[in-house]
Amino acid sequence: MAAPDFENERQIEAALAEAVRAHAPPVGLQERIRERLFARPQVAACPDPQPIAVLAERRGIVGQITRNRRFQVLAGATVGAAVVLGVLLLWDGNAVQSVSAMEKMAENIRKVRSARWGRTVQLLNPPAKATKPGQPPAERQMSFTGYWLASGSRRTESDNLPKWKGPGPQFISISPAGKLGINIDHRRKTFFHSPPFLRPCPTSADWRWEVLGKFSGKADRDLGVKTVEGKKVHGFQIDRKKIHGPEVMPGTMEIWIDTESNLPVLVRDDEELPNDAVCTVVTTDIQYNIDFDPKLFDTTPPQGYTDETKKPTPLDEQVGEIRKALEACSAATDGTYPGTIDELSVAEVFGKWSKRMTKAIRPQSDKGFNEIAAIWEYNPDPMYNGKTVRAKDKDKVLLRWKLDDGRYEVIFGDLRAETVTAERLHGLEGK
Amino acid sequence: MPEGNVESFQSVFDRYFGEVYGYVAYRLAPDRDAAQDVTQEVFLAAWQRWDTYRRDGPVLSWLRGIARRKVADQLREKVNGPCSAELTGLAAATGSGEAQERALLLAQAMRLLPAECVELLEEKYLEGFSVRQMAEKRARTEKAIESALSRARDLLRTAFQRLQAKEEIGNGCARL
Repeated sequence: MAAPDFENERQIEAALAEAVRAHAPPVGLQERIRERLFARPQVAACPDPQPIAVLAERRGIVGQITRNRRFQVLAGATVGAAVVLGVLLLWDGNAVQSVSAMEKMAENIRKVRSARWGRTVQLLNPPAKATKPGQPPAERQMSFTGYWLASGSRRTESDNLPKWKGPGPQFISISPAGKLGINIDHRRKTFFHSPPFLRPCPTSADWRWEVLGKFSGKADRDLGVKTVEGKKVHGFQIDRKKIHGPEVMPGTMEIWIDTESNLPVLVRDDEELPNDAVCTVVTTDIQYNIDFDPKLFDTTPPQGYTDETKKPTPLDEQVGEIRKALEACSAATDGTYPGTIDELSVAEVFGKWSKRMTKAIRPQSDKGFNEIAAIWEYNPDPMYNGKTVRAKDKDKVLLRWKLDDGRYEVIFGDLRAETVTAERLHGLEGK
Repeated sequence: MPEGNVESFQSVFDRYFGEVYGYVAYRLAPDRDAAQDVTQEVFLAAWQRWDTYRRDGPVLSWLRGIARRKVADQLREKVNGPCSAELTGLAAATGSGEAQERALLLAQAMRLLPAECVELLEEKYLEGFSVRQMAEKRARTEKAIESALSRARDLLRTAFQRLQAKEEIGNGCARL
């Protein structure tokens, strides 16, 4: 008999779920127990004239019986209709269910006022390539707790960092909607302010509610029903590009939706990185519509901490670093650039697993990648066209962002930089 | 009980009956009669406590908690459960498939574990609670829960493997 050896946690989870599933109730048992539980002869046998309270109670039971009968009739009629409908929909039954569940989820996410969640980011290096025989794949794991308000305010706390003994998280990042944010390091007793947060970088630890709330379409696979955190959940698997957009790294997402509230209970996002590395982000322990203490979004620096807020990099220097980073990419790849901001972030954060982008690029590109990531997160109107623009495209816009005076800084395919007006940019991008 | 409460309990009954039965039946396998009786006891107890149920967690967890206690009572009554060879025989007699055989062995292995281990394993791997939630519930640290879970996994693995070996010896003897 093929049996699990319980070497990993998934095997135990699967074995327990299988054990419960293996036992379906015998036919008629539910009805028998229902009858025993809900029959109330003592009230039905009450003699007339009845006290008002008993009458009310009895009306309740009559109402209940009527509703049950109505349900039975309705169920009978529905079975007939369902057979016909089932035949019609047989070709795509699962997809229909996925559409409605995923879209219902998106609709409910749009109604959420606030949320708190736990998030684990696990980076697994290639199981076959980068480990010694007989050793488990090397991995790095970090966990975060996130807080989110529908107004756009966010707070992220890092948990369980190895060098930090607590109490509380070592890093806290607070970004109140439209206001200056703060990033606190309790171990080093430092902080720095960041500009109002506009959009998360693809590798950010932030939970992207917005993308799930905007989702419309089909899941690729129905994963069935299981129990997570004590809730009955229905799972769907979907290509992560359908959730995050076509520009992100490939991979799959599993979304487990509470069958009662139609809100996600568990989200697993497996992102395929260069050289077979995988970044798995698991969002769990999600609580909705909590009345947070406003202090959670307070950006007052802790007393006695050193302010490490950097002055904005002068434009010349910023452009110089960006050009240096992109030039390294181009040189290592025969005139191409990372296709998307996501790939670019991957090059920055996970570059050590990328053959093309490792040694050749990292030393001279870190600052430039950081500048691009900052532009992406905080600039009101950035655009990056790495997928279509090559080093030979001297007049095509590779990267642009808005300056404080309303003009735009543009970096072209040949890495030439120019400050242009909005009208001129319009003309350039029309090319 | 007010009508609204009856209705809401009825919907809980309809929704979770299959899962509660499945859980009870797996824990008491292969005794189906006992599983049916205990399932009824679980819902009866749940209904009696429905008015006082605090609704501070998922209702299925609450039902499983009651089921776990009722199963433990039932197992205590039958101090000497059938040995694994008998279990295998019963499974074969009921025409069970491989999944049910595995479920049977798992049930038997769980019975050899201390109650706290069963509760921890089920909360984590059946009900899907995080270590943090389990730690908060017990007012213990996450580290303490993780090491208790690790011990529970080891015990389960050992118990399962021993039963499996026993079963294979039994099957070998039967073929002689």
